[in-house]
Amino acid sequence: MNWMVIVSSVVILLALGLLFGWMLGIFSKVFYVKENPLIEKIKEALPQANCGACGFSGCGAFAEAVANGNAPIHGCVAGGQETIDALAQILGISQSTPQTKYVAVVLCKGDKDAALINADAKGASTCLMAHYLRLDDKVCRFGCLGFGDCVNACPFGALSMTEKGLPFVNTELCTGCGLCVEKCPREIIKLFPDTKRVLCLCSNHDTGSYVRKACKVGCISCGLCVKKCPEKAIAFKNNLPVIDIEKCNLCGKCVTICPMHSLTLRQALTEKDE
Amino acid sequence: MNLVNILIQTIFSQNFIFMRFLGLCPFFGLTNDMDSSIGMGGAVTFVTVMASVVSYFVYYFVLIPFGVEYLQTIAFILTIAVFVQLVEIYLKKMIPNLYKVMGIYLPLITTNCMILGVTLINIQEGYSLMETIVFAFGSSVGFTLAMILMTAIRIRIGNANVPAFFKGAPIVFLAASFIAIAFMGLQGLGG
Repeated sequence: MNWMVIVSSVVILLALGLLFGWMLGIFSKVFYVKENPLIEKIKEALPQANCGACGFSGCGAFAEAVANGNAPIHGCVAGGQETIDALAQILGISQSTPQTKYVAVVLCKGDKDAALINADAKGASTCLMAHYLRLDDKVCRFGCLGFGDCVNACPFGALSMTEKGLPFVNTELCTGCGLCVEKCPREIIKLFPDTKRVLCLCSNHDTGSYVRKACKVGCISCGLCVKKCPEKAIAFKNNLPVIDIEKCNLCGKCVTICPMHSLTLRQALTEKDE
Repeated sequence: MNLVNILIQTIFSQNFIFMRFLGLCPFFGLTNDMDSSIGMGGAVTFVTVMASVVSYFVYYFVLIPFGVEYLQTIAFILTIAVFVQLVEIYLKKMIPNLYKVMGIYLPLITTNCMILGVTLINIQEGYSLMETIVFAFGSSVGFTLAMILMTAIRIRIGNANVPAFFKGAPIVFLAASFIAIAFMGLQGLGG
């Protein structure tokens, strides 16, 4: 009797499944859609990270757009030059001009040694949570929260959390897709072209006296860099220095004069890193 | 219970989303713009009605004669899956734009608890074939109504200045709960 129950259940479901499957098979033959074989090839050449940096919903959508001529072959940010070459080969187009590589930079130096702590905050597990519920322990309202939302967002493994509680960007792995930029609730990760440039690694918009109470390496808007700059390339906006890269000749005087060491001369990837 | 009563009940006083809280996944996921919510409503309507009819036959002409009523859940899910697949193939060929907009949500209809709920309630209440069709049609119209209402509200929210801690999902959940409260007022409509 028990055997009969099992057997009849299996047989009936099997029969139903077969019937439905047969119907589906016929239906899909009738409504068969011919897909462009190029799409599949292009899809294979893409990094398959589905990061969305190209502006399409994923690698599949981008491949389709490229095959239909709706997207440029250098649209894939994450793939870099290799993907452009591969796509150019598939489509038989000559290569377009190489794209500038962008890398993510964390605009905060407030690690565990530098940033001042005002509370023993517990309970938050993500930056987002810590940001909105104020569950962070740093005095600074603008600095890195250190829960690593950006690290989790990176599909290329380019970000890692250092022991001192700041994310570290491995510029060789970073593709500049910008997923971490979106995830950071404090908006302290930004994309920059991978060239040598002066950056202010602080995002605190407070005035100097507040910054002094919050961080040992924060920009206190003292204005020394503005005075020392021979090219007059630095101006202050919202209590942070803005560097005009057209005027900046990378002399580095501002970096040496900065009393808080928040200005940094950043080297390009092709040269030695810092 | 006559058919008009069932229709009014399923659309308003027993609305599947606001009163029974079934099928919430597309309700929150796909109500960003009018086109996709109406498209989703249409797809759900088709799948619900067709799946209810077929599951009616499957239950009364296959499961009951063989005495395996306890297989109804799995058999109905099979039926629903097949119809979702049919809709997907059809849309891919005929309306590719809608197919792209719906994306992941189309396969998700398979596990939409509203559709399974409709087919199971049909059997539970012992509805006749005509009542089954009306019940399925009414509940999917109710679903579409809820989707359209929510989309309109979300478009308004998009233009409003929402406090930072309510931005995104929280304000949408709040809005949904307010509509649900409003629908509570229709209790008793349709007998």
